Amino acid sequence: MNLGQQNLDDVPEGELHFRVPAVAGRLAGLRRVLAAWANRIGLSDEDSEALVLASYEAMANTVEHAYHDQTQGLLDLRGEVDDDQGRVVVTVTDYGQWRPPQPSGGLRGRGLPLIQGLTSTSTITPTTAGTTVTMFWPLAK
Amino acid sequence: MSSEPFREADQSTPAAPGLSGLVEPHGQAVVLDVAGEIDLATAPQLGDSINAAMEQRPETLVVDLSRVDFLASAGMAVLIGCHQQAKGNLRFRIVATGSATFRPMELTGMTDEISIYPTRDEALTAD
Repeated sequence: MNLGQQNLDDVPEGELHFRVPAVAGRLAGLRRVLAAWANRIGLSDEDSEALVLASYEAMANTVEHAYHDQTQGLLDLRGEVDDDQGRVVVTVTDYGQWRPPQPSGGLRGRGLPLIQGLTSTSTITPTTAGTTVTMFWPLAK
Repeated sequence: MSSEPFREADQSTPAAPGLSGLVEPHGQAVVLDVAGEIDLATAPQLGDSINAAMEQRPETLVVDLSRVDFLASAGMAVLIGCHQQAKGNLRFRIVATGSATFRPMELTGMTDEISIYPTRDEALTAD
């Protein structure tokens, strides 16, 4: 399966789960899958765009920061429609070391504020085993 | 519900949609016309293109993002870095509208730091 050429038909309607090596070159393909999925589950254009960018930022944060002392790490991308709560949940999980954003004159550390600005609710859960970023968007009534 | 709840993605690298930057002289100004997607993988390329345009020593450098349809924070970091580098040397201006480029810059407060214009003409003619 080539993520870059995945058909919309291959994108599941309900749950979505991909596990990939945490490297920059893998993220563009996942972005396209997320865009197709967001469209398919009926998010507005604005929320779809927000979901794609926020999820990308969470994955990029993993690529840049989670595995700095290791040669290879994995990331899990999950998407789920929660009909009971009327919302969409996306999580990005890594299994590396959480590091708080370093202040560096505004050059870096825009990813997390961006995620917060693009989601109705988001949480970051660091554990000894890794970090999960969880992001929510409301489903249209 | 997916028939396959977990999938191991294959190892091939998807063809990069890429990023292009075309340098156009406009009198004492230079316009860098950027098209494509600016993400973690392509942001260094944006930095290289801006640096090459700066080496032409224009009075004003306009980075036109009108044809960019994705802008991640890695790209914003490059733009901020170039903006700081330009201080005292040349006027650094960005053209951006809409949700793909202007909105992320607005959400992170970048619009307060850098001069951003809705059209190329305005970026070229503003004092």
